[in-house]
Amino acid sequence: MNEQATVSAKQLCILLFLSLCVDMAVRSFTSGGMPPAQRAIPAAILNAAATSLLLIFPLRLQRGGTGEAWRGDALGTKLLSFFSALVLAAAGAAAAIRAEEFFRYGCDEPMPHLLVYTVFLSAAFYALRCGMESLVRAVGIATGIFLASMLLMLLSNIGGMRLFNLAAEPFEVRGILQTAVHGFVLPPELLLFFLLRPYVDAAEKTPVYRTIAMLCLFYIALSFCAQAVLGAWAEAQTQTVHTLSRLGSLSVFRRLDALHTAAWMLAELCKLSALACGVQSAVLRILPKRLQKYADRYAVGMLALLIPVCIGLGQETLYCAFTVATAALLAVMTIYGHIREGSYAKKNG
Amino acid sequence: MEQTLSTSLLENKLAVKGMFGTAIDFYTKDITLMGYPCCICMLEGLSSIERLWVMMLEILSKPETQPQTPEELYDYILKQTAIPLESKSVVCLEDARVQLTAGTSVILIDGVARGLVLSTQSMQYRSIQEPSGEGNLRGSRESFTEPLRVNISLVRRLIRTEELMVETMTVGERTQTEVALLYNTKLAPAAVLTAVKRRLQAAKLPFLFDTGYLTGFLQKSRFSFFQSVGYTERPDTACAKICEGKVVIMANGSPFAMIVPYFFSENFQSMDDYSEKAYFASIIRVLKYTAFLIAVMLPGVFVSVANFTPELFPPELLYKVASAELATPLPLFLEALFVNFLLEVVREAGLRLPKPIGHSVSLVAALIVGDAAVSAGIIGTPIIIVAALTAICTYVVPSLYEPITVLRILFILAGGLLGPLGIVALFFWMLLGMCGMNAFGIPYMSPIAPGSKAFLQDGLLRRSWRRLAQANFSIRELPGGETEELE
Repeated sequence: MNEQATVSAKQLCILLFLSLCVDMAVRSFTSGGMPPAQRAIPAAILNAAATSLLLIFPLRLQRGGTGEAWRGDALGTKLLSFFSALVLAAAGAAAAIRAEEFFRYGCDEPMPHLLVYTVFLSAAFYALRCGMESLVRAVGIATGIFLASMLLMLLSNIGGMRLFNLAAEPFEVRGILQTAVHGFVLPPELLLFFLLRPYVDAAEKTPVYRTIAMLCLFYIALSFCAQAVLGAWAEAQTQTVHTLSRLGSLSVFRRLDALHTAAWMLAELCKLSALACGVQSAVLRILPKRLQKYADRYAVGMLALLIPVCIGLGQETLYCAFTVATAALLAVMTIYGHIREGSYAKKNG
Repeated sequence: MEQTLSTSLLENKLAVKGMFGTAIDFYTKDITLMGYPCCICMLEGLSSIERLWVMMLEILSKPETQPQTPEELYDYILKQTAIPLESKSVVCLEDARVQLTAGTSVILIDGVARGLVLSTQSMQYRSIQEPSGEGNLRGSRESFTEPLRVNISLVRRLIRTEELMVETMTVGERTQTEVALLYNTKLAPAAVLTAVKRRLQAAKLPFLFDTGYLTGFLQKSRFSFFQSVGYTERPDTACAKICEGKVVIMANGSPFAMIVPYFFSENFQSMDDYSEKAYFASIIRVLKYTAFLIAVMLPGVFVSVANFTPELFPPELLYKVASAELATPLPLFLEALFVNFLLEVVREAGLRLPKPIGHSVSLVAALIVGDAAVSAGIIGTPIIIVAALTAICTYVVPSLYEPITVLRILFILAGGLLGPLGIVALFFWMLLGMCGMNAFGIPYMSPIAPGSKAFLQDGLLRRSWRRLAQANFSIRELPGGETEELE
C-alpha cells in the first residue's frame, strides 16, 4: 500500500463535492420534498454564502498562518480528534442508513438490512485498505459517472418540462429566509477539508469556495428541473430527484432510473468511504503507535457500531446534531488554532 | 571460481571438452596455423563450418609474414588480418561457454592462454513474420522473432537516433538468458529506469524463456487483476513506446517485448489508430471501452436484472426471458456460470490442441452447446446470446482477457447473489483496485484517474496528428511520481 499518498487539492475538493451533492440526489426520507425553485434557489445561495462565511476563519488560519497550528494536525488535541471521529462516523452511519433506505425504495425485492450494511461497510473497509490515493482517483471516476447521470436525467426530462410551472410568484423575503433557515445544514463532510488536508501538498491552495459555489449551482439546476417538471408536486415528493429520474425517458429508453440509481449508489459508496477515511484519519491521531496499523478496522468498527444508534435517533435529529457538532468543532478548531499560532509566534519572538 | 585458460593447448582442449561432455553438436578440429598447433571449437547448428573455412583459409593460406612465437600468431590474426573477430577474447572457460553458445567459434592456440573468437554465427531461427495477435490494416507487417539480436536490430532499424540505448544483462540461473533494456536516454525518467534495472537484477529465476516470467518481479507485490506491464510483438509498437519515454524489455528466445510502465488506457490503443482518421480512431476507442464494460459486466447485470429487477426489461424481452427460464432446469444465475465456464473450457481446448483438432472442438462445442443444449431445454437462449456477445466483446480487447474473464465470473456471482447492490459494490471495488495501482510511480489509470488532458488527446479520444505533434507526449507529463513505490 502506498502510504506516502500524494493527493491534489483538486481531488480532495472533488471528493467533497461528490460527498455533498449526492445528498441532493438521494435525500433523507424525512426531509420532505424540494421547496419551490423561486424560494429554494435564493435560499441555496444564502446558505452557500453563510457556509462560506463560517469557513473563512478556519481556512484563513490554514492558509495565512505560519502553518504551525495546522501542520499535519488540524485537530490538535486528542479530544478534538475523538469528537471529529465520532461526528464523522455518525455521518457515515447516517449516510449508510439513508442509502439503504433509498436502495430499498428503488428496488422491488428488498434485501436483508444486515446484508446491505455488510456490503457498505466492506466497501468502505476495502477503500481504507487501498488508501486515500486510490479513493480519490476512484471518486474522480464516480463523479464523472454521477454528473453524466445528472446530465442524462436533465436531458431525459426536457420533454416533460412545462414553462407554466416556472411562472413567477410574488417575491417573499420571509419565505426565502424561512426556507434558508430550514434547509441550512453544516455537513460533517466539511471537516474532511481539514482532516484530509495533510495528504495534500501544503503549498497547494484548496479551492473550497469554488466547490461550495459548484454545489450551489448543482442544487439550482436540480431545483429548476424539479420545478419545471413537477411544479407544485415537487414539494410533495419524498425523493424528488428519483421521481424525476423515473419520469424521464429518451426515445425507447424508458427505465433510465435504474442507471441513475446505480450511479447514485456508487456515489453513496464513495461518500461512505470518504467519511470512513476521515474517521480513520482522526482515529490515527488518538491511537497509540502500536495500534495505528489497525486504524482502518477501528474506523469501520465505529461506523458499524453507530449504525444501530443512528437508526434509533432518527434522521431529522441527526442532521440537526450534525450541524451543531460541525459548527462547534469548526469554532473550537479555529480558537485552538489561534492559540497555537499565538504561542508559536511568542516562542519565536 | 572461474577456471582460466592455460598456455597448454591440450589442457585447454580437455577443459572445454569437459564442459560440453560428449555432446554431438560440439565440434573440435585440430589444425596447424602457420606452423603452430591450434584447435577450433564450435557448436554445430549455432555456427557454420563452411563460413569458418571460407573466412580462415583464404587469408591464412597466403601469409604475408611468418610469426615467430604463438603470441605473435595471436596478435597477427587479431590485428593484421581481415578475419571478422569479436573484440573480446576468451580468457576463461566461462567466456568460452558464453561465446560458443552464442554461435561464435573459438580458436585456441598452443602457447597462448587466450582464445580468439570468430563471428561465424549461423543460427536457425524462425523468420520475421506477420504478427499473430496484433494484426493491423496499415503500417508495418513485421513482428519480433526469437533471437534477441534480431529483435534489437528490428528496433534499431526504426529508431536511428543516438538517443536509443540498449543495455543487456543476464537473467536465469540455469539458462543465463540475455535480457535487453531499450529506452530513449532523454525521455525515459531516470527513476523508472533505475527501478526497472534494480528489479531485474533482483529477479532470481532458475530459468527464463519468456519476458512474462519477469512480470512478477517488475510489479509491486500487491495483488491485482490487472498488470502494469504490457506486451507487444510489433517492433513499431515497441518503438512508439520507447518514443514516449517507456522502457522496452526483450529476452532472448521470446518474440514478445515487454513494455514498462504500461497503463490501463493503452490496452485500448493500436497502431492502426494513428494511421486512420482521428474521428474514426476515436470512435473505435469508445467502442473498445464499451466492449470492455460489456465483456466484464453484461452477464452479471443481466442475471441481476432478471432476478432482482425484472421490471427494467421491456415487456417483450421480459416475456422471452421468463419463458426461456421456465423451460430450463437451472436458475439463470447458475446457467450464466455454467455457460461462461463452458466457454472458457472450449477456448482453452481450442488453444492448446493442434489446429485441425482445435477446429473440431469449436465445431462440437457450437453444435452441442449452441444447438443441442438449447433444443433439449437445458440452457435458455437468452443466456447463450448474452454469453456469445460477451465473448465477442472480450476479443475486442485481447490484452485484458485474463482480468475480464475473472471479473465477469465475479460480476455474475455478485449479480446473482446480491443483485444491483452487488454489481455496484463490485464495480466500486474494481475501481478502487485499479485506481490503487501505480506503474513505476505513475498511476495505472492515468490519464483517466487522476484525469489529465492526455485522456482527451490520446486516451478515450485521439486528436489529429497536428495536435498530437504539438503536444509531443511523453510519460514525464503524466501526474504521479510517488517515489515510495520506486524505492
